[in-house]
Amino acid sequence: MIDFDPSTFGLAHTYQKEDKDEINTLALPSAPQVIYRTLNGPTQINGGNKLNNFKHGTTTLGFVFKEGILLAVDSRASMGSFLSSEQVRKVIEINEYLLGTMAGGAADCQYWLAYLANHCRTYELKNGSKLSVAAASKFLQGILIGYRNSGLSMGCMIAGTDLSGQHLYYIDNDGMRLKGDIFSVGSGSTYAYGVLDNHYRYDLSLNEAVELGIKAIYHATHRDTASGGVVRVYHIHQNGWTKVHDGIDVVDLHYKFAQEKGLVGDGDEAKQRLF
Amino acid sequence: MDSIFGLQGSDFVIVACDGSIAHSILKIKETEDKILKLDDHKIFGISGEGADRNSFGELVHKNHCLIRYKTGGYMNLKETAHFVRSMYAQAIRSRDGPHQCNGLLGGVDQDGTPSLYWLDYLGSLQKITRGAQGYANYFLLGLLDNQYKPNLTKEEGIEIIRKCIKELQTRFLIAQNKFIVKIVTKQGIEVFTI
Repeated sequence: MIDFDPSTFGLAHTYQKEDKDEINTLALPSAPQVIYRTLNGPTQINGGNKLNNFKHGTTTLGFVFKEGILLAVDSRASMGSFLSSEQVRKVIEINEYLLGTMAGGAADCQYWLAYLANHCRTYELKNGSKLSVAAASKFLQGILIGYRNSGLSMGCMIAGTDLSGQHLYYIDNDGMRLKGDIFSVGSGSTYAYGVLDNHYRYDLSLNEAVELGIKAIYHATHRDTASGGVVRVYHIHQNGWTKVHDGIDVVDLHYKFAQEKGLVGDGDEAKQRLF
Repeated sequence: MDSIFGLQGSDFVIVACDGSIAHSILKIKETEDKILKLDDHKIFGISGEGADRNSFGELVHKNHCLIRYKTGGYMNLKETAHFVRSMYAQAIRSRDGPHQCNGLLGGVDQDGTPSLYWLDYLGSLQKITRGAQGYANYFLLGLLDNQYKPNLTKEEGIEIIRKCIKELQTRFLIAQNKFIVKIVTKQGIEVFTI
């Protein structure tokens, strides 16, 4: 490399080799940080407005099996460490053939699922036939994509029956829509998945499926502080949906399951003796 | 976190993707097909977060159909790739920002020539013979470069893809168990899961 003396050539600017020109790392371009424009509050990077930062304190689950779809949910609503309600209805009855589950912001879920119900009914009146589950969930996805950066908080499942069978979709506020056989949403979902993945088979009978749903929700409510209350179970079949259980108290379930194992249920299985 | 990778052979193109959808620490789904079928001889593997992947994929698919109706025929690979690139480019300085997804567009033209294109969320376009999107790049480019030779047969191509999948399963921190592989030849598209 010849070292050019800038003064020799009378150049006003010369290219000075600097340390930062050494390319030491392979820098791949990454997606830019998305700046959310929220409706209320200052724009923030990577998070949005604190006021809209809801935690999905709940456990909801749904799975497809040979007799249709089973939905099971808990019923606790918490605002931080304060329990605002133990009797929330987290399965929203959209119409006689569609159900939606609620996780995240209750208002968001209730409003938009009611909006979806309105849309389904209008479609049915205008076109003479019911909206399919795929179309209904896609409609909701379209809305949520439109409101993507506005701070909505929803992690819901749309389950229903139409001419092609019973279908389960997961939709969240990012605009993601997934079709699947097993979903669990909420802060307690990881605990529920543990039980669900272990015992799930497509050819469960209705009773076994209801048992599984109840058990999975119970285990999630036991370990997750933001889930609790009562278990509500719904079954979707080709003629619509049925409410199988309106509210089984998880505390009762705790002692029932403990008894089945020959335990008292006081949590002292390790028999810790301090003195 | 998606892995999309592919290679082009003498008369075929393969694009493979992992099937997982993750949300924070949870794997919500393991069998999601991230390779979109544009028509009988074109596939578009898209890597990106859920909604963007879905919505951009739908946008490309429907616009592709529209152009074919408008022009009364068939779009070859080069036209399609440039068209998709222009969709990315239009969005860069738009109100909603760039489409947050990258893609691998592959297919075989009517005369049997295969091609594979690498597309970026900022509108980059490059015709390649082998490549990947996302973290898969780090693990697979060395292997793909090493294994690739001109005029690969379909069986050799599938074998290389199997090696790639094995490599990801061995070395990638994120467990990706199911992969969906699509092969386009002059006869059409074959799909299988590994």
